[in-house]
Amino acid sequence: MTILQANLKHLYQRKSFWFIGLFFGFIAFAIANAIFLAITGNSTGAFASPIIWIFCVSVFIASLPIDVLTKPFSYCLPGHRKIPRNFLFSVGLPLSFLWSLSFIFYPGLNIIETSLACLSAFSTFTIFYWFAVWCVFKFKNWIIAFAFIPLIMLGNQLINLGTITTFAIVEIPLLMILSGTAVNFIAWNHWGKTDLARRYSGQFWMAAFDAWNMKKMSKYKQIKSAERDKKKPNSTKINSSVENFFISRINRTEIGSSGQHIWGGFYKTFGLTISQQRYDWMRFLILILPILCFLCYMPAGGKNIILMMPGLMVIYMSLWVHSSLSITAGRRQRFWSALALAATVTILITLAVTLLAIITQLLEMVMPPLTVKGHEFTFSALNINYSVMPILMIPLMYTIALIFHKKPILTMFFAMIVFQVFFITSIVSNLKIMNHKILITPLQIAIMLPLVWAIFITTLRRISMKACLTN
Amino acid sequence: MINENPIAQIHNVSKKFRKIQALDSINLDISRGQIIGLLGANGAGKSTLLRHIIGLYLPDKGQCTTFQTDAAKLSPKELSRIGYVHQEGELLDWMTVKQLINYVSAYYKTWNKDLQDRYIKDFDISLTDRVGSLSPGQRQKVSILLAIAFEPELLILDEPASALDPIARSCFLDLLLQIIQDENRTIIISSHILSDVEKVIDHTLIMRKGQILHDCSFDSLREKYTRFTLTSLNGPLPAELPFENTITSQINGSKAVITVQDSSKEQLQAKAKNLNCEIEIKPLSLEEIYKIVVS
Repeated sequence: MTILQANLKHLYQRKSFWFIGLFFGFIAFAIANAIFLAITGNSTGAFASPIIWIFCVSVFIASLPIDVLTKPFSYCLPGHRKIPRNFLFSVGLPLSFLWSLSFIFYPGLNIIETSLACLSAFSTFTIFYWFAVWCVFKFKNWIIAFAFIPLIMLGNQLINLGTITTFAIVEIPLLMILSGTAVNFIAWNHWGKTDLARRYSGQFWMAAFDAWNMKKMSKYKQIKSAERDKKKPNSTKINSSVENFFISRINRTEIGSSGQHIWGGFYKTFGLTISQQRYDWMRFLILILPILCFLCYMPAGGKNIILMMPGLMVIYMSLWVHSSLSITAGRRQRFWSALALAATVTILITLAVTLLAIITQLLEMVMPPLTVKGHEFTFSALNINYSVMPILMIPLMYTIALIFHKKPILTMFFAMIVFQVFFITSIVSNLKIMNHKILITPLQIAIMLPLVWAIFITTLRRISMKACLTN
Repeated sequence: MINENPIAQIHNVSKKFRKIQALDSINLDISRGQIIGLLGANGAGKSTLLRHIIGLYLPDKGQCTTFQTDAAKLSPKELSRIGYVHQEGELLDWMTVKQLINYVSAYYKTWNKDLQDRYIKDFDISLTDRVGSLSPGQRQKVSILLAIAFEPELLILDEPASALDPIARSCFLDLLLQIIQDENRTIIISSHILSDVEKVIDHTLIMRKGQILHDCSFDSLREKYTRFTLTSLNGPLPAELPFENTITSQINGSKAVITVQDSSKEQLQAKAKNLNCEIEIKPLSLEEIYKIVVS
């Protein structure tokens, strides 16, 4: 077996990639179907849709060689210097080629034009492939690459990017072929550089599924904070007045009491957030308000996601039950401190989302309807009744995080299921099915509330008192 | 180990992690004032045993008591008498070293500020650095500081010096030598750097595959195994030498290097005299003894 073959085996040796393969297989099927419909319906824009597929897939593909390249052992592996380049070309070019064959069915072209269109499409797809690969090799966290997708989708909505790209592929093939050749030539030289292994060896880089690895995410945040600290000293440290506040509370409480550990838990969880400087909060608001407005202009119940995202994000927030830091917390103190922390987080998040809902209610009075390409979009406020969602969601999320605390992928998997259930519930609760209005009543919520909290408290108690407590 | 005033007692403790038997019917008493070296290969069960003593792990079978309390029910009162340097090195990465010290010290009545300052000076710890940006060695220094500055009665050191450079290791050993002068303090050190461990311990526990192979004082372990050089005064040595309980024997003409167990110095000297040989007895290092025991 050659070294390249051994590397290509990573594509199926990693079980998590089976899931990726399955997911993108379905998407590929949907795109193929869209192209088929485009042939008959004469809507040629769909021919460019493989671009997004290639872009997303190549992010995952490129995360494999970077994962190997950043491991120090691989620096000394004999004959491994050119493998990242060979790997990337071996996967990217066949994928681009396969999708370019869809242009065989492009309506109204003769044989020469079809051949040129296929070659042009192949070149164009490889450009996007290498762009995604470059993102993965450029940014320590490949998730950043996905930030381009909403831009591409928005571009498609506003200026028919798909149609323009298809037009360019078919009408100016020589230019596209030349551009593709140039990009591939640059890629061949760039990923074949002799210092590639040295530049990446031992560097911290996020691999394909590390976004769900809490330890690695924490390390990543530390690195980012250290970088920010270098640029702007003390910007990511705990403020001394915040420190004094919490330490004085810990000191004032009786030594060894649960109260002391509850304050300790608050300090560890909220200390850094409260210490954020004014411009951090401003930046947060500047970011959140347009997103809020954008979602409120979207039709249907998609905007409810903003009420539920904080509930999903708590799975990354430790309750400190498994902490092995040398402090005096016994199992009972861990239980009470975790419970107090979970309750506080729930209340704060519920208040925050209620506030957001109120803000959108106020904005609804002043925001005008928008017309984009003949479609009218009206601003519709968040339903304040759904602000109760975090109170129901957070205990379930914490229960999942406690049970699978050593298996982050399972944590995320089950958390996503709970998230989907709540999200779908929020949407269908507004619908009428067979003349019957589905409505979530206060009574149903009143029954669910003690139930989900009982599940959480029982799990927390069981783990605090009976389980092995190390990370 | 049998004594009247144990600080920790482990009775018939077993622990299994899926198919791996991490601890297998362990019985152990830890006396006040002992300095114990806990030795064993990776995966022998050392860390698991230590975590049972402080109640982080609970046994599947048997009982573990620390300070006369079931380890599972240790309260802050008992836990504030235990210092623990752990392998994971879990610290609060977003704090500065000073903030971390302030935070941890708030939980202890007995926090010794002078000891803290002396340690910071001796180990050259920067208080303004963010914990997350510290090197593994610096993190270990901070972990040690947090575990010793409140002068715990029971100090558990799980691989405390694995990331320290030679100078820091030497400083750490000096510090340990100062700490052990308090006769009431019990220390358990799990380490692979046996040359360091043997300078401070008075008791050894050797583990393999979840079981305790040896539980005895370091002196008796040293007496148990003896290595000597035998030099014949009249020509080559015979192929078979009359020493009982021989572990290793290397004969090279008129010289032989032999390792035996359970033989007194007097017995060896008498036999050497009978063979008309000179005998030179050398004490074995802990590392050499460990290799003999586990092999």
